[in-house]
Amino acid sequence: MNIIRPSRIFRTIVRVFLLVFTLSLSAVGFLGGFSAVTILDPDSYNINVPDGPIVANLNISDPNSLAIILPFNITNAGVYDLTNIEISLQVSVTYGNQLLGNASTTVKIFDLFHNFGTIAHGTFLKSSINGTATEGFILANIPSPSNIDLTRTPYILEFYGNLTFSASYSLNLYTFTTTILNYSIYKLSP
Amino acid sequence: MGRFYNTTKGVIFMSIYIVTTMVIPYFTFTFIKNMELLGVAIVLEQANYERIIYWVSTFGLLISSCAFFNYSSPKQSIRKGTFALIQLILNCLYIWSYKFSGATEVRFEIVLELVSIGAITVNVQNMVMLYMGTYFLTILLKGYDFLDFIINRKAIREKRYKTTIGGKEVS
Repeated sequence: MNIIRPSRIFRTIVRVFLLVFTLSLSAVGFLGGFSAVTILDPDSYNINVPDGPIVANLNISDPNSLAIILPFNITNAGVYDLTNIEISLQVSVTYGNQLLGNASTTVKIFDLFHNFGTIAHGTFLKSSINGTATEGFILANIPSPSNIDLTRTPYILEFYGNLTFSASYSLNLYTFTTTILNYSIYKLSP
Repeated sequence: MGRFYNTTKGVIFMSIYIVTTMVIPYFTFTFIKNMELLGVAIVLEQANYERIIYWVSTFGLLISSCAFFNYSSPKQSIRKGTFALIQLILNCLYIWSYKFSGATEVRFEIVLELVSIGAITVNVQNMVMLYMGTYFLTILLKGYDFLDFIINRKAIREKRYKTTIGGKEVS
């Protein structure tokens, strides 16, 4: 008769535990990958940042009226919650600075970061980032109209945006960040 | 169990490890190197791609060769214990190579009309660290095996080489 040594019984118990643990981990990884594919499916349009046109009042001659509205729509079609959803938007303006001999100057006039928390699986978040003169705009950096070179070509003012969207997935095991740099928002011709 | 059985088992497991540690990662990274999402090209930088493939292939080869010696060794032998332990440490280095080769934080350039307009970064470091934890527990288990094989060597050898007549043990 085969007698199993006690040391082997202990080993088998630990081995089974490790097997279950590894299989669970692999299942989480696989489902996470599957969900990412589902969410990023080009035909499904699950992540729309921006969702439609960016509405902006960039009249720098009246700083108090400055406003930006960035609509977005995120649908979590995967099997896990999307957590730590963070969206940040920076806007910079390039202009000819008369104080510097009409040299092209770029300054950051808007910087807003927002954490939207969590989107449970199967649900969606349709919202917007709203920037106003008191929230987001850096009034100290906004160029004075008297310092702007109005003869600058091809544009007097050029507004560019940097958009960053990040979120965590699969019980925070995956984190992804998407950055769009120098997205043209508005150009003012002479 | 004969030598042929052990050798065949070694070759089978070596093939499995070649597929899982080298072939699948190679095709995965080659597939994601040039993707298109919503009509926009998502490109993995060539230098990153080559670095990832180099380290994955290097450790994949070492693991696969170790797997042959591990699985072709007799059960509960010190040779098996030694190669199992070496293989596991190589597995850890393999997993770790994903981190230092940059595969845990893959950066894809978003290219529109030949101009990079941004990037997508996928960070799977937490997942890799969790796998490392599992491997650490398995290393402890292999270390335990190794000690067990040494301490109970006499009992293992007696069991392995016992003589049987008509299915009954002869002591």
